[in-house]
Amino acid sequence: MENSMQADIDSGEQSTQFLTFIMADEEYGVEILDVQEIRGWEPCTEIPNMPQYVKGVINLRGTIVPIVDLRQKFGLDNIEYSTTTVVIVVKVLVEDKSKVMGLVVDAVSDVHTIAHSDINLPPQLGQDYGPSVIRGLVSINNKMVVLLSSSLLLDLEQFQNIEKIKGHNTQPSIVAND
Amino acid sequence: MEIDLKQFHQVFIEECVEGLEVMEAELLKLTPGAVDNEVINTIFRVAHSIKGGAGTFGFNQLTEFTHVAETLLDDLRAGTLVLIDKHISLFLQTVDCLREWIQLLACDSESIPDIAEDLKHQYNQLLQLDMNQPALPNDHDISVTGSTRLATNVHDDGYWLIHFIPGQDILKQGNEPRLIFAELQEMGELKVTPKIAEIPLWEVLLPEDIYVSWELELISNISESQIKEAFEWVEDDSKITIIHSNAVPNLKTEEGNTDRVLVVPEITQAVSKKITNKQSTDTNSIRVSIDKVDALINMVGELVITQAMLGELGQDFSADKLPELKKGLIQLSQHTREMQDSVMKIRMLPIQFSFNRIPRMVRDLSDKLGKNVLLRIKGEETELDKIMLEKLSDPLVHLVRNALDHGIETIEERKLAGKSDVACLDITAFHQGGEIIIEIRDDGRGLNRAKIHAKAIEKGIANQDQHYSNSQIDEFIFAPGFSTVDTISDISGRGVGMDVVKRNIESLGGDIQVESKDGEGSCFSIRLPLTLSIMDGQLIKIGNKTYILPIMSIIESLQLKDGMVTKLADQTEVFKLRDEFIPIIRLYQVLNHDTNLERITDGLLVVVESGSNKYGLLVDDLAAQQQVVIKNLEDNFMKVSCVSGATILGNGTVALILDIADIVKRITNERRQKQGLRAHVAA
Repeated sequence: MENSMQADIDSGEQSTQFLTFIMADEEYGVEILDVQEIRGWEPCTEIPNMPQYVKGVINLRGTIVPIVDLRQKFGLDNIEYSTTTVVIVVKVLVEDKSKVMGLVVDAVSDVHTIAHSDINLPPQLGQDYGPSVIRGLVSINNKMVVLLSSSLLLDLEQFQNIEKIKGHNTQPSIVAND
Repeated sequence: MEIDLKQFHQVFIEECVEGLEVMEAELLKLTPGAVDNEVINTIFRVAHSIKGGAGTFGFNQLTEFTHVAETLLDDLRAGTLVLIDKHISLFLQTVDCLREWIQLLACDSESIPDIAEDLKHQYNQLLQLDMNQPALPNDHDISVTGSTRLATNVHDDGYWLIHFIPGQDILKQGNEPRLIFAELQEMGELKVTPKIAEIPLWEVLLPEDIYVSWELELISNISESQIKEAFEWVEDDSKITIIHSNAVPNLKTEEGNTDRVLVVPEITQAVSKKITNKQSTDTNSIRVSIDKVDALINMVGELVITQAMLGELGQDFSADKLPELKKGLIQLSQHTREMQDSVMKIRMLPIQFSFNRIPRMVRDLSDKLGKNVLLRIKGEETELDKIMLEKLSDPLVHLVRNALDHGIETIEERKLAGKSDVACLDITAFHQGGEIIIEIRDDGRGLNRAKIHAKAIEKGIANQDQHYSNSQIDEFIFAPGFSTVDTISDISGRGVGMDVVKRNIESLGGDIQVESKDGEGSCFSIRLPLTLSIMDGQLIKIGNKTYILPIMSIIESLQLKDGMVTKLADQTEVFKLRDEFIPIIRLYQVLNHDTNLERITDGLLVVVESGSNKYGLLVDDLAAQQQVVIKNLEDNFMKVSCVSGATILGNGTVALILDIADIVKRITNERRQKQGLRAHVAA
């Protein structure tokens, strides 16, 4: 597998490097060029009336950066933040503006070079909510890695939609938890 | 010349915009009959640099157009023409036309403003008149004959003989005869004969000077002005004679005055393409005076020294060096603050930039309205944040228009009221306690409160049964969709006025107030914070969270006692502060946070003002007051309701700045929704 990939690269085929990280024993990847830095988790300032997965904002050398818990966003079980919890700071162009956002994940795993031809499209199942955050699937060493599209992770309309849905909900579901 | 000149377009456009502003301001200083040469010279310089720039970038039509204007200016400067009011109006129209043109260029549009042809025609008429005056020197006559012939021969294949004796130092100025010839060659068949008789002996020859002159023969059906264009950059220093084969071969050279001969009516298509949506006036660059930059560099130098000192101190620190350390830290904080100030200053520009448009507007409008207005501007040097300046222009224009149109009476009315014919419009800008105040005061008729009141009731803004104080009535003019004028004029009164002005100013963190006396005039005063990015904040505690309230909006804070709070039917809690009933907003509810408060009397009530209403915000506690640097959340995130921005506190954590107006809006919306729901259920 490793060899065949290497061969692809040598033959000049297009490939991209991905940083992978672990969440609930699954491996996910984001394009490495979108990653600005990796930080340890630190408490952040909560933003009122936001979905629970928006943990708040931190001061990143003078700029205000929002932090999103990917576990919660993906509907996985919450875990307590520990010293190994990391924040991957990604930088992405959204509508011609560069935006920075922190993603809380369990742990950082590895860096892989993946040929474009090895990326499989995610299977279509269930409702279609427009463009999916999942960019594709790839198997590395017989383990599946979910490649995420970071620009869609930052899709702010999703927050706004959630905001709207919440507006109709009479039961305030947002409770502080840090 | 294969360099891509596109990259310089923006600079050229910015320069033109600035130049045109200068030109307009200077034009308004001119009075018919009396020519102030200094003023004319300034105008001339601007026109000339626009022409030059346009030539460089190949905006030939623009070059031609400015050239005609320049010719008239030249005559005025030389005194061969007497300045009349018509000239000033024409020049002012030219400024408008050029402005539009520059905008079009900025949008990469090839079209030219509709009015350009007409203006050019007017210029030509004025110039023709001038040339037909018999008192003019002889060489002008030659030009006239040349030009009239030319006009008839434009489309025939012509034979042109050009004598080009370059100025000695044109090479030093970066001009290259070879390129000029290349340009001519593109126009037709060219034969170049160099004349080398003037070349001196090797010993005295300066390699940077030019000694050769040329005789050029060109066969082409172009106009003379097109040939001149090729020589545009060298024409001031060089002797250029252009002879058309049909023209009388007169070898008399015209120095500099060659300008005269371009009265060639050229058919330019006036494409009536309006400026595209792409608004390019929103430039993001800023010109900073070198003084400010120097001050900043000095400050950075100081900072580096202090840092070095502290670094050294830290290398081997012992307890006895503590005083030194403290001293160093004090210095450091001082330098940092100074540096912050000077960085802020870089963004500051004199308010003049916003005021510049006003004299022109007052002139035009008072002519149109038949009113006699004396405009007095004070405090133009007051400095303001650049972003604010840009956003302030429109509201200012609106206020001045209103004052002229509605505030100031016609001459007859003024006479009847026993006032002087000349109305006064005072615009004043000044600093007052960390704020900038701009006043627009007229001595007109003042606000008509009876009419405003009636209109407010009609529009459903005011309640018929309620009694309003004078200042409350005055406030109505800022309500959306409010206009008392029955007939809509093209000057003001479209009903989208004062509310937009108010909203614009509020978006800058300021507010606007009006004072008025019947028959004596009214005064609008705008208050603005010094800058957008720093403000005084009051830290408040809600549960264990820290938020910031803008100090500007806080009136007072107090602790409630038992029995002070009354509940209204719709669950709104109010309390009585002196003789006002003030609604209470429990911030922890709005923000969905936990609170440590068990009873309302445990917390503090911060009374704030938003719009013209007061609210009592319930907080757990008040903490420090401090200056905060405002950062916006939209940069990396999005607009968050109830929050206007964020800042970084001394300990490095982020605190959010509350937006009171937005909080009020949110509560109102929620209540409305609930009511709607209830009504729905009842139905």
